[in-house]
Amino acid sequence: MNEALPDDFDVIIIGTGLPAAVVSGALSRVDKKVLHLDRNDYYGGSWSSFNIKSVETFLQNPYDSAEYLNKDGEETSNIEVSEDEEFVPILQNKNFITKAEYSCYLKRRSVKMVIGRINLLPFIRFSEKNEEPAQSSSPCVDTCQSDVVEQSCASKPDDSLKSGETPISEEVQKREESPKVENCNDPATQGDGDSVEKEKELTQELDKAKTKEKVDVSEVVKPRFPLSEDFYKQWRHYNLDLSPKRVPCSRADVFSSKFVSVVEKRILMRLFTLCANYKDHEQEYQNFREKTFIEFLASRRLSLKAQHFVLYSIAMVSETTSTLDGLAATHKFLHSLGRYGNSAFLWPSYGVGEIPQAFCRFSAVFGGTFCLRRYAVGFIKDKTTGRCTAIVDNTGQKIRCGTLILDDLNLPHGANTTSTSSVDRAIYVIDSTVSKSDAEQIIQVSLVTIPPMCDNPAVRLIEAGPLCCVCPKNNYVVHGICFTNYCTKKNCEKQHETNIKPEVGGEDSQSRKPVILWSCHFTMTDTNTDNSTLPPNVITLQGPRMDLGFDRAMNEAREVFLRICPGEDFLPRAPDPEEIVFD
Amino acid sequence: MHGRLKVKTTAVQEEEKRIKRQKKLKLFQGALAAAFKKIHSKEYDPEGLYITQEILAANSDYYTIWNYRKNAFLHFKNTKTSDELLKCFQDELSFLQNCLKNNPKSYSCWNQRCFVLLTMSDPDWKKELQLCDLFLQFDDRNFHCWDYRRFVVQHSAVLPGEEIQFTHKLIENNFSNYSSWHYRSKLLPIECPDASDKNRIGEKMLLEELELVQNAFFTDPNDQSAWFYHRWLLGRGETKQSLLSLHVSLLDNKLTCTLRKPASIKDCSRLNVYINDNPHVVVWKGCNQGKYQHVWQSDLPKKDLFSGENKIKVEFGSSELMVEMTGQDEAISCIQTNTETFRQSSSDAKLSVLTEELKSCEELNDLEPGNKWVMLTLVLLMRAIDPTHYSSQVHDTLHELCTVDGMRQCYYQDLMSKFVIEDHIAAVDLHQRCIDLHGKALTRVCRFEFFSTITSLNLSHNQLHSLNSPFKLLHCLQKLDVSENEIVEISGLKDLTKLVLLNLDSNKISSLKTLEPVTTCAALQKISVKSNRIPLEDIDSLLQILPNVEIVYE
Repeated sequence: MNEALPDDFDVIIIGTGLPAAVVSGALSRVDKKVLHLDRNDYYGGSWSSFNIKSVETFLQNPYDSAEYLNKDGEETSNIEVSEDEEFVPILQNKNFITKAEYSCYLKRRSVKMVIGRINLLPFIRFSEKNEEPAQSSSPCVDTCQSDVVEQSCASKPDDSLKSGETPISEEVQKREESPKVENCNDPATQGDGDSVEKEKELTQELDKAKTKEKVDVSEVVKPRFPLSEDFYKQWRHYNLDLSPKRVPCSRADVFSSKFVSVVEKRILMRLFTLCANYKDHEQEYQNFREKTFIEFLASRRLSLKAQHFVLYSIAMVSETTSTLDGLAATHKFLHSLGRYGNSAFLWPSYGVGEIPQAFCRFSAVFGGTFCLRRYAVGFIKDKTTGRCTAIVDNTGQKIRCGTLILDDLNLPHGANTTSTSSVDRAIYVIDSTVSKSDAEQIIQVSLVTIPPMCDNPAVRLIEAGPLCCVCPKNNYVVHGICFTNYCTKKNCEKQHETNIKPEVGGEDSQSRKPVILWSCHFTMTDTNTDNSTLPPNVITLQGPRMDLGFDRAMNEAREVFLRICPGEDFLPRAPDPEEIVFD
Repeated sequence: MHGRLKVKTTAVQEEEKRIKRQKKLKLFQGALAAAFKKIHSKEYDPEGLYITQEILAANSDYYTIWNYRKNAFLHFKNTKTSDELLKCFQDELSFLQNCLKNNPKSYSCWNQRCFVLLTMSDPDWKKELQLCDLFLQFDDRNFHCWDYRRFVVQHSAVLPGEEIQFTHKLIENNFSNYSSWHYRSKLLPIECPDASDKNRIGEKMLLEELELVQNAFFTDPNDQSAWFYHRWLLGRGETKQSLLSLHVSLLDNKLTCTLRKPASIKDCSRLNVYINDNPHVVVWKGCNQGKYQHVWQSDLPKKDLFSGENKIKVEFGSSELMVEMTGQDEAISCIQTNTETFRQSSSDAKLSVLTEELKSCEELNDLEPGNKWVMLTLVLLMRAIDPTHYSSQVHDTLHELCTVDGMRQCYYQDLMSKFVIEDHIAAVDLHQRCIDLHGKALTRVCRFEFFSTITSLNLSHNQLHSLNSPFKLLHCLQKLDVSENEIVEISGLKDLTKLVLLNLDSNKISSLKTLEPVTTCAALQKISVKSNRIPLEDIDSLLQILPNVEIVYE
């Protein structure tokens, strides 16, 4: 990879995170000359999916950056700059993942046998109208989250007693989604060679398609409503239905759900009908504009149980969310339903990491130049204009560019970054499902949202079954995401373990509790880069956050694109092969 | 621009498409010519199969071509070995599946598939059932596929229980799919029949089904599939055939029987006449046109009767009516009507079930005020439970329905008219021979069979629009008052042989032609047509046509 690259590009992009990859594709599509580099030997940056071995490697040393940085330091002195130029080093953004650790509860060898491929960031995305990938919303599934918190209540006996007395409003709502995943990489039978083969197949498929649309090879996720034992306790306390049920969110779900009474079915359907077209029925929520969504829900005669699952599982907002925001969120959910089956979600079969990669491929099809294991050690700034004129890559080559785009893992020297929030995440491989499902649902991803309780923030759990191609038969991968600054790793871990263990122990489920085979915890920090100190033609992008969906990344990509190419079409439909004139 | 992807213009693409289409057409026509040659010469060979396959792949609705293939297979049946034949049929099945993929609603394809399965030996019915599953997954209302499924089920001894499970799955997926509900209604009576009526389902199952359908209409009360199924579940009580009235007239020497349900001449053989306890053979004659009729007449020659008192009895099944003639010229006997007379026809479900349903519908009506399906079901339930008790509620609900569902206003008004007439019949003694239904806002008249012996009918001050119902059933009618309506035509007043007095005042009759039916009423003495829109010259003509009739026109 050391051969010299062309030395003049319209745009140079460093890092292949999702927004960077999308911008790259969009720019190439309108004939911009794009150079796209990534220091890793894989695509996707913070959006990548790894198999279990790479996760361990990754967590041991998230970025082999120390070495680079040292070298960078040395190399900078060798860079020739003229008098009116200034060299600005680009560093690795090391804050992204911290406090990482993992443990394996089985003998090393057997783990290798057992575990297939884990999505580090298994995003689930909404299926949306005008299904440009651009519209997809990003789901982050796999971190250790709020789930943990909830379960923490469950884990400490004292707490759980207390929680039994907590007001009913604290009942937990979980929803789970069951997305089928197609690529079943069972390493026990397939071995590494096979998974490579799979990759190849996908690549071919995507290449063949040459359109972004084909990228989202994903299947449908169904929401469910499983409850942890702790919640069982509470629900029992209130004489409520204890068995985990799927959240009824579509018309067919509501019809067949045994979870709500017929009267509630009517009330729910009325709410859904309203939310689906809420903009046309302002009078219905006129008086709640200043109030919270949960107050609005209460006014619709929804039972507490139904209020909670609408709030947490359908709108996926919090108790403080305003009525309008809640309506908008519900609207979005409802309009995502039914586009690809009876779910608002899609599960990317090959991991979220596949999505940025697909956009990169798209960019390459339209002429973008890609190079892995290559990165910018810094850029050259013209002192008089204050603009960036070129980058210097790790081989020392100077490459001119009109615009420089840096993804979240690349940090220009001197830029101020601020941590905005952090997400505690955990990934577990367990040997039976956490959320007991009805018999007919073997293949699924469960998305469980546990509302905040006992001063603990909300938790989201995503459990992916063997058919999601993340683990072999009979095993499950659980991602926990906790959107918090004060939930420590340790705390998390404890909560998680207890969370998972008691959950299956409910009286109406099998007596066996899942055993954790492998676990890891880490904290992801979102940083905002202050662009004001940077040259106007250097653009920084954001990393993934906790949102379920890719909306933010896609919007960011669109904005950046329009900044560079005002007035141009953002990712117009790619022509079909028969529409292309070959000379 | 350098490196820019060149995309063909729409015009270029259109032109390319056109040329492609032309080429295709030429090929198609060539193949067609070859195929017809084979058809005419009855040449059944692999080449013929190949050609026709190409044609059908392009147009799977070409039944002449399918027919050739059908004949070819029948031909092969005699000429090929069983292994070869099996291969042929299997190829045909997979070819058919491809055709159906492109055109899932092709009659010819499904038909050919039936043919193949019936012709081949040892067909794999299970696979066919899976095929149905698949196609119904794509389109759960594809009635071709439903038909085919029933065909497969019939031939493969699939248990009704399995099919019920299947419909359940489809309904869970989409309960607006009436095809599934309907199929269910066909399967359930087989699987869990009611002890007393094999077309109905047992009570335990009935309750489960009611719960299921309740879930559907609570989820979406605007979905008609669920309501129709609900109506089927509650059933329409079957009215039992019976005698309604008996009329004997010595003036005309006629015996007239009226039956609850229209009967054919064959059914009339069950009408047994006894004169003074002696069986009497009579020849029945319908009083109107048509095979099935309510009213049947027979001659009653004087010679068959005693000179003094006579006892005339008619039996039909378990019902019988008797008149005793003690010198008078005319005698009638009618059944005694009461509130039960019509209640059964609304539903034959148990009262407890109906009351439960009424309760949940009322609940839904509170949640969803102004929903026409809920309201209509409420009306039907209330009628089935207790017409008298709910009389005002039924009236109010129907009135509201007229506003809520304006498009079907006339339907609701007609329904109301029917209820009013039924309630009236239930409350009067038909032996009075006089019915007063004035000022009841009627938009139509029905249940004529109950009126067959009456002599006077007052329908004035209603909203009748036309008198096209068969008034002839009212074979004793002498006096008819239909004034103050909105009548524009009176075609039903034909051949009313006993009619003496007819009041048509204040209607919207506009010409002599409209009045023509009255000229067939032989006994008519007075007709009043005040405040209509009849031109004077038409009145003059009428005076000439009916010189012996008093015509009041101003």
